[in-house]
Amino acid sequence: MYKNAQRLFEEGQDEQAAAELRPFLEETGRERATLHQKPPAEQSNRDKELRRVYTRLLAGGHNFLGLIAARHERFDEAARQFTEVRNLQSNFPDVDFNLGLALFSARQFSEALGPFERARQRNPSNIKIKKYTGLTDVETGQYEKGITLLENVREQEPDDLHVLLALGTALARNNRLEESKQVFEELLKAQPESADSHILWGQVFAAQLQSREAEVEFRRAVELDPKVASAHFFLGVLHLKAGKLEEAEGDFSAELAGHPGDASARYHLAFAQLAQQKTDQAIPLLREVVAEQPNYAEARYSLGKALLQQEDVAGAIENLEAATRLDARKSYSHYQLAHAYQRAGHNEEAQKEFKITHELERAEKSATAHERERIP
Amino acid sequence: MTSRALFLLCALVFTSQFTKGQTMTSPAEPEQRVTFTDITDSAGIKFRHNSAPEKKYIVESMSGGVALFDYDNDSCLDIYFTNALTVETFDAPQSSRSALYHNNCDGTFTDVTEKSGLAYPGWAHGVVAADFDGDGYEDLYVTCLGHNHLYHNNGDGTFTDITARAGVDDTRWSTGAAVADYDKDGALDLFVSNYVEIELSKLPEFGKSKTCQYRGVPVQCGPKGLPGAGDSLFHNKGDGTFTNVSREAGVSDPEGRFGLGAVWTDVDGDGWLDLLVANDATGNYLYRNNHNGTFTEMGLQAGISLDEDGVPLGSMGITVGDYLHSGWLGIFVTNFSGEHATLYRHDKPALFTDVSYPSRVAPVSTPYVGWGTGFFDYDNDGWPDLIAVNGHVYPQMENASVGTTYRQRVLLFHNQHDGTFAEVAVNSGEALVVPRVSRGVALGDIDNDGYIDVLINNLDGKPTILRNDGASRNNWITIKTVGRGMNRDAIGARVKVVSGDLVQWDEVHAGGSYLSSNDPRLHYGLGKKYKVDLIEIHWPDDKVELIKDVPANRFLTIEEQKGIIRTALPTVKK
Repeated sequence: MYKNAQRLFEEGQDEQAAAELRPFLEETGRERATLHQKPPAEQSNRDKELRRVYTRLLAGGHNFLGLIAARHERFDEAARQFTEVRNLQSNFPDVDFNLGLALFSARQFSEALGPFERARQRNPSNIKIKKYTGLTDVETGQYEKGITLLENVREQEPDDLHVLLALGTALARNNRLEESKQVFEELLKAQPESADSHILWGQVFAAQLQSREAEVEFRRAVELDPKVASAHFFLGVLHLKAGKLEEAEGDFSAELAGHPGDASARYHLAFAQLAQQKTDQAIPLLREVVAEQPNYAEARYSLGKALLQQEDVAGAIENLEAATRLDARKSYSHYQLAHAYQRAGHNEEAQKEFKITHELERAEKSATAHERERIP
Repeated sequence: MTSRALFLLCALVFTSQFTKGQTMTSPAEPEQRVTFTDITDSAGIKFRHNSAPEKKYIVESMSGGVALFDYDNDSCLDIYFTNALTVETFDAPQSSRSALYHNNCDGTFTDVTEKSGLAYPGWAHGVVAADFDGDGYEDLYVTCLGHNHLYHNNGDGTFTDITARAGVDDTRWSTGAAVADYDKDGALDLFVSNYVEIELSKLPEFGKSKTCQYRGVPVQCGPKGLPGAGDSLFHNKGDGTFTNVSREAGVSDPEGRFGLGAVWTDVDGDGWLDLLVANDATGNYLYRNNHNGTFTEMGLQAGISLDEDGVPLGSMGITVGDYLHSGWLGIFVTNFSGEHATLYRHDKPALFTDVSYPSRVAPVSTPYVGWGTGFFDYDNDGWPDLIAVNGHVYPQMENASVGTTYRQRVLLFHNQHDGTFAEVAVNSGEALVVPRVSRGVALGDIDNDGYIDVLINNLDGKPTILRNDGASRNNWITIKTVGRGMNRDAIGARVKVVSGDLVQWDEVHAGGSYLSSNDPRLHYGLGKKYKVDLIEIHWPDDKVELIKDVPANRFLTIEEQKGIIRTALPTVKK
């Protein structure tokens, strides 16, 4: 059954491969659990060997399911499968990189960093791992580290557009403006006109905080290909940053209409609605996002905050506790959780969270001047 | 409707207008829109605020306080503008002249600075007016980069610098100042907020580090990346001297947050004044009065330290007002561009909710760097409105195309009576939409016509006086409180005014907004109501006084235990 599934996967018959794998994994999982239930003293060498085999088979099976999900851009599902693989067998080949890549593709950048770093420790010279670790560093605001890695990647792969875009952005954010400009010029020269190239140019302008120019590029992309992915999304982000909430809502809705599986667009749509006090509309969207991506800290935070506004204190606490667990560095999650505890009369817990908020806020005091953080 | 029903309704209206004890209302008239007119030149104001054009250093971007106070007791508000030096002119203090203008009570002002002795306080920032010694004349405290100054009003148009004798100097970079009797000993105490520790010989270089960039554009450095300065509380001993009690009282700000606007207000209704401090780029402070000379900081717990998302904002100015008619004063704070102004609804004693978005003040204020601010009922409809004056700190924003500009217009928020505000500056006179680089704003009725005017000190050049034309023709009442003992201004008194279904609370303040000091008189719009049913005064010594049935459109002076001691009609009848 396993071999058959492997063959089907290699032939690109993903649905059939998955259909073969699922009952196999269920059966194998049961067998393994039975072995697990035996007290250690009663386990024979054969049992132990069998357990190892089952574990390897289960890990392999989940890895196939992860690869299938990734091939179909179901990145949350892929991340779940690769997490399962890692739980079963932490040294499974490429599991950390695959997990990181799935999380990265699902735009869960903070979560992707750990797997990529583990992969890099195992294989420090691998250029692909270096590239994605660098891209993730830039997405999570660790510009200096990102620049070091991406410059190294660029030496070996000078035409990689993603690397150039991230490197240019990181240099701009780190105030190395001349170097950033050079990277962007190089990037633009290499691009023929297409909807995708306009999205790329738009991102370049956005990275340099030239919103008007970025907007022109994203709009041109939509003109060339109304269904192009991400154009409406980036327009929405621009509008959100400019405080144009209704426009942002329209953009994220348009992105979602063309790409209903885009959880990030769904989250951003909910964010824009929350900012307009459309809490009733935002909550169901956020619930969907959280159901799809239970580890999406920002979505957990926003859902918790929205529920608190609706006086659902228990629901708020559940989601805000999850948000603080998932990303303990965000002072706003602790702050909102403190208020939720305060509302519930849990004063001791509230004080503890206020204290954490205060400590994180103090650490923030030395950050870049006057740049607001909460816009996703 | 049948003719019978119509007849009954008319009878009901007829009866209600003539029932004893009921508040009469004028017949419904279409309400005219209030507009403001810039009268700076015609009023004879020649003052110009100094500032280095490029603002390479943060010390060159923050000055510009203004006080409205009646220094000669002629019942017309006079004006004091603070002025600044630059890094280049720091060694020549006489190169920058602050100014006192005497109100001639005829729409014009006369520069009386030279005679007053208030011309050269140094690198001045903020100002607060209060009668510190209870002699019946308003004194001035001026905050500076360097030595601060307490100027005693001699009662003859001159002032004497008594800072050293009084013991109220603070040689750091002082900004906001607010006055109140926090310990109920009858004497007015003084809080001074300080911004950053800075040495002019070691200024951080323009545009050089991470904290000297804004949206990719090189700019002046700070305040982030610079050490913050602590704050000072001076306790008035009642003998003309003060003691610095900042540390013992728990308000010294050992963390060194970047203090700017400050206001004393009672946030928990216990009759003791608490203290709010707007901190730039760090959380705001709420110091709750423990009734024993000490305070407990509880900004986070009260919900006013950060915005609703737990983000510390670049807070500059601060004001409080009963905008919901709940009797609990809400808090409005102006912030940096890319953030938004914050409105905190006062839900329970010492508990607030950030309602900036639901109240609609947030989205429109996002591109602006806000400074001076105040709750004021500009159209006298009985509901406090809001003003915020704006202007960036970075001249480099003028042509940077980064979603904000250097010169910025005024934001005028009209209270919609339902917890929301509509931004109406564009419909309220051309003078409001002129982009300027504003800092302090003081609110007060400079022409005694019953409509509140606006005074703005601008960083680059001339100030702006915006006369309120009073077109709404609504009614009003203005109350000057006179306390017993040394707190002659009755600072901290809470006054409830009831007129039919309108119930409004306010509090007497000295200091607030951004580095500024408003008309100390309390002003209440009354809409179409012709009289006030009840004035309930909670004096700072906890005594309560009731005054009933007062006709509208009067300036009242009410002295503790004596009731109304003076009534004046408006100078200009609307």
